[in-house]
Amino acid sequence: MSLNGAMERALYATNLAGLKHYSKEFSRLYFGSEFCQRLIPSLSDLEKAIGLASEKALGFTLVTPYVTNEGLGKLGLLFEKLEKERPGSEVVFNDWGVLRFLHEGYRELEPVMGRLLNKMKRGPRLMNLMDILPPSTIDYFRSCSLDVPLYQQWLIKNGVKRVEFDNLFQGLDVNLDGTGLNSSLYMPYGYITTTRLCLAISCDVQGKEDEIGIFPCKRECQERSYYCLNPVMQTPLIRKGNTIFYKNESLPEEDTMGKACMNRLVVEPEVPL
Amino acid sequence: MKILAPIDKAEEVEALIKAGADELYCGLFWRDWLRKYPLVALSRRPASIANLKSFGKLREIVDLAHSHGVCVTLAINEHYYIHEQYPLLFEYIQQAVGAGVDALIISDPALLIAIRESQIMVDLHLSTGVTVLNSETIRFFQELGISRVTFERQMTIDEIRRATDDVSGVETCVFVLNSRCPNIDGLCTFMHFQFADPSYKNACMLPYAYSPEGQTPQETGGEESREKGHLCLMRQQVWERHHMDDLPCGACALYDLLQMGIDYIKIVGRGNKSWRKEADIKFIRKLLDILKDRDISRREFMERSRMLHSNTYKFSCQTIRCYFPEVMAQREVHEYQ
Repeated sequence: MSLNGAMERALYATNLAGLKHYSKEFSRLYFGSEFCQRLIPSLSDLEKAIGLASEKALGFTLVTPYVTNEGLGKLGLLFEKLEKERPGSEVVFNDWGVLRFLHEGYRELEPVMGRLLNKMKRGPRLMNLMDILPPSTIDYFRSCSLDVPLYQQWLIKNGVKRVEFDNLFQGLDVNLDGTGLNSSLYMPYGYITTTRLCLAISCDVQGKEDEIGIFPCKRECQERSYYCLNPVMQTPLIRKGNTIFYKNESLPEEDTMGKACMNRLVVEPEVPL
Repeated sequence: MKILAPIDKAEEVEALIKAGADELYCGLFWRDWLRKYPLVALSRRPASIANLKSFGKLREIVDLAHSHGVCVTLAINEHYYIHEQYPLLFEYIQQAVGAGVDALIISDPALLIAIRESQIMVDLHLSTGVTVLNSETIRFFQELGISRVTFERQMTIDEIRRATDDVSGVETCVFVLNSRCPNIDGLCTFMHFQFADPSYKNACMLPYAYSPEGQTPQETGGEESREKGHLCLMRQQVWERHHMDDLPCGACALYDLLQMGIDYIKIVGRGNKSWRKEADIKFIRKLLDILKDRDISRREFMERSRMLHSNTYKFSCQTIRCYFPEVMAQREVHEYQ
């Protein structure tokens, strides 16, 4: 992996244990969960993460998942704390309701549009077909609605100055030059799909394998992750808890990143759940 | 509470309305689009059978449905479209609106904004492809001009209640029958292909080999790893066995959904056979008729709905097939966040 010097590097820690990966190469800390409201950090965990960021003079970004009203309640407490302790911090939103929630009550926090909201196709099977698809279809799979000027203007108007991407096998071709938007790239793990019917919950309860969706969560996802292998997928799928990921360690070309105004790399030392 | 039902052919209009549909929704194949963007669906149902074949057919359906006082909505709910597609996309939308559709079902916020900025006057409904889980998301899209929201499938009754509690001025829609995706519809980036090769069927239905992360199956060793792998595999096999199209149902929650003021009950089924569409509508219609008896208790309604389900579909309820497993198995619920 090689990077030009202007690229900001952020460490992504989904919880306190992930902070052990901090090193001097990082100038920003991403902290929190994108995929499960049960994993939203507690206030005290947030305080500790903010503490590390302050001690090491790091920028701070709170990462948030898609949420029900209950999740919004949890986030409200964190936003209040963050706005008070670190005004100007970023909040990655992966739910449009969270963006509105920020606008309504937390104007001192900067919204960042998370990677779950760009909807680009990530399933690795697509790579089996790239050689036979017409250029117009390939263009589609390498881009997303963020290339629509009206949408770009609307995001800026709504205070969103940064958008985030996964590192796609099929490549990325989104032109954000001159729009006022910058972008981030998550490396090396990309997400493919996520569910609220978590297969990990109570996965050790013998004889109850059929009853997915009604058990209490004991954070079993934090203990186990699996490769899911099928010959049609060119790469192993990684199932951790309620989400399936892939791993892609090859950076996009420099001009691709330049065109997408990509000036931040979000480094995931572990599968981010 | 009204029934929103799928339609794929003009010949189905009379029968579906007679069965009890209050509103119809559909998708439409357009050759100009497919020629330029093979594999890129317009409305998340790539199968030919799940789509009308011309704007003429759409007009025919709309005219017939309107003569019965029934509205028709068109799904243009692919998760995203790119700017290059907009000229063709807007030609498509103009033709659909010209054919008289009452509303468009949209997933892509960019398209929603672009339609509102255009001169096109048509109601816009939010597809489940957007992932509505909370009241703030409803308000967010209300402010963007939508008149109806469809909730994500993977919500409990209590979560839906809390999301709708202090929201007004927008219609709400909940799925209760068929195609309960194992993943969150709006956040799943797997492609849905239409190939003869079974390797390209829905990725959540494929058989997988498992191994703990960091090891290939050959490297997997130790009793603990084998046990963990075994448990995970069992869960995944359950998932593969009971797939989304395996008649999932949430009908016994209709009592609660009515109480909380949900406006529309949506039946999934674009591409299903006509007899199946009719059977599904009749099933839900009978249950809504039962709910007209205001004295019926929740428990009694649930018993009757299960009995009707068993008589209609010839199998008993199962948690894995239930849209609202916490309603079905309340005694076992400890928490379903």
